[in-house]
Amino acid sequence: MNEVDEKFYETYGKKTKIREYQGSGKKILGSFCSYTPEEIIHAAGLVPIRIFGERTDMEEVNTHVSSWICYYARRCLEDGLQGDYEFLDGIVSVTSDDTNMPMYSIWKKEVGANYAYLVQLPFAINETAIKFYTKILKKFKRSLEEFYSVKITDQRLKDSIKTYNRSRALLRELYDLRMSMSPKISASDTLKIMLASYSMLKEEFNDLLEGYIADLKESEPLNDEKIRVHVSGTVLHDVELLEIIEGCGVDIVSDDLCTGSRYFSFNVDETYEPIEALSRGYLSSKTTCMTCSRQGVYPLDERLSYIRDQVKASGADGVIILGDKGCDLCAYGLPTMRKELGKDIPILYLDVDFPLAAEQYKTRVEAFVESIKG
Amino acid sequence: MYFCGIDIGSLTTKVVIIDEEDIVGYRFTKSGINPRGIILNLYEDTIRDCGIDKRDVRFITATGYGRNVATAFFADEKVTEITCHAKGVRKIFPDCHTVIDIGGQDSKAMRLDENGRVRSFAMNDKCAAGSGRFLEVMANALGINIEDMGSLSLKSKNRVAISSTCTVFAESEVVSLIAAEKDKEDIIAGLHDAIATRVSGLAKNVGIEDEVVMTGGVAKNVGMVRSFERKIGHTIYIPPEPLITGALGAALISREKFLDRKSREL
Repeated sequence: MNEVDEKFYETYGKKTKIREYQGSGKKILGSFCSYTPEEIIHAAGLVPIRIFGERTDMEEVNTHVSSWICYYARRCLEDGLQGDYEFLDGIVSVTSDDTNMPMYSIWKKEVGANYAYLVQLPFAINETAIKFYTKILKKFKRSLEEFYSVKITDQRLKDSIKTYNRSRALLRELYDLRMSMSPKISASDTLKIMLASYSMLKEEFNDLLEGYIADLKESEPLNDEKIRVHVSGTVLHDVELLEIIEGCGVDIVSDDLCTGSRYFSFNVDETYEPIEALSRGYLSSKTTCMTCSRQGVYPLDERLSYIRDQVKASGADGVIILGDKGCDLCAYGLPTMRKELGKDIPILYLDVDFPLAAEQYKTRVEAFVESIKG
Repeated sequence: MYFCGIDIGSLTTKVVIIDEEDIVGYRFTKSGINPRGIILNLYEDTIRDCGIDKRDVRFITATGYGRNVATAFFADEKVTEITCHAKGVRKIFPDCHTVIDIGGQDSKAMRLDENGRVRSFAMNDKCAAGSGRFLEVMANALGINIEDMGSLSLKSKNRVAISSTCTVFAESEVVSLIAAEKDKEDIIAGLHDAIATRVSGLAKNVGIEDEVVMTGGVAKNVGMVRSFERKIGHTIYIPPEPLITGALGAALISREKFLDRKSREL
């Protein structure tokens, strides 16, 4: 077992920290989106975590939802219905995409939750939207205060924002080590760390990650001459898929995954009043979600410009798009995205579905690598 | 000096031997369940056909789904079938820019640049629709030989529309069409159109540019080729033996690798 597995991945896989918090009487709230304003939940003394589905055999979920919906929702629900998330006291969803909205009510009805809340995101991003979202977040704060009989003071919010900003800064530092011309960490290991960040309190995660980054800086780079690739997609928590890609002679050096750079690509300005600061911070995030964009900009263009920036920064030789067949939002945007990005850089499109068809992915990725190497 | 390419596909395994200039010999056989034995036997048989000494074969490249098995005990190198098909097709058709390959279990479309490099490609997903297997199942349902499908379909006067591309559903659709006393020829033509629609979607994804070449076992079906031509509006060229282009490409890669290695040693 390597260091990343031991220090981070266990926390996610065995939910070691979550069990510990639960044992000490803390309440755990699960979310479905990297856009969830976790700082407010954290400031209430609750533990915000992200829900993922680990099961690949769909036994329960098909009797509740159609088999063609997005794999993330399907897998989350399967685990929920099988009782894997019994430790959750509640859920918080965000209107960041077409799946998260119904997930909120399906989970509440079919899996059950003491507390359930849907945070409403604005569509266009401008000063009016920031004011609107500030009000929405204040309402969310009040809801938590009432339900859990706590007072979320400005000081507590400021402390939580500071903790989360540090977390985002550390994750950016980790990503820089992966993006370097001689990467020090693989994307599959990075994903394990991301999953841990979603499964424990950020103050503990920060200390752990800071120590790990210090070690990593001293370590030798991964010794290889692989082609450099940017990975584009939505939510990916399946380490195996990244391992398959990396096994074909690829270094994944940047991404726009919501279990990746989208989670920390922004900062919350601590000089504003805390709730307004969160509103500004989350809405400043470039293309973290597919349904909102700066006013006057097409969401698709916003996403494209984010990917182009990442590709430029990482010096990627190609882009691998991980398409989710069940994601209607992706389905609308992907053909255009492929065409646009394909003008400047080689593109490989992979249809992702679980259980993974490893051999089929290998053939495609190996062929992609061969076509780039020439 | 001789060079070998071996393409271990889901249905058929093919071997091609080339010298410094051209093809010296080739063979193919059903892939079966004993890949090691089949690879070795087929290789030995081809060597015997060519009347050459095994020791003169300097480099072997494996491709296709069984490429990992082959490199484990036999081949020097493995390369994906996508790169190999591009290479093999370019040898026969130097102006080819689009390759449509339909094999036993998958179909793919490749777009080549001026230098014959793969610029983009698309493959079918986890589904038998648009594959050689699809046609096998349908030939069976119609009680005919798969080899006869092409010529029969050319006799069609009223092509039937097949609405399912799922192999199982399409089979039951064919059974209902037989019960409705539709002509065999018309049903086959409809099946070809169904595959052509499905696979031309892949081709359009990568962008179709002349010349278009079709490879793989299904390219031997003339009715299938005509369906494609109608669908995409381009003339389709077929290699003399469309089954072996992948193995030919692998053999050409063997030669490149060997010569490259030798020149580096000098």
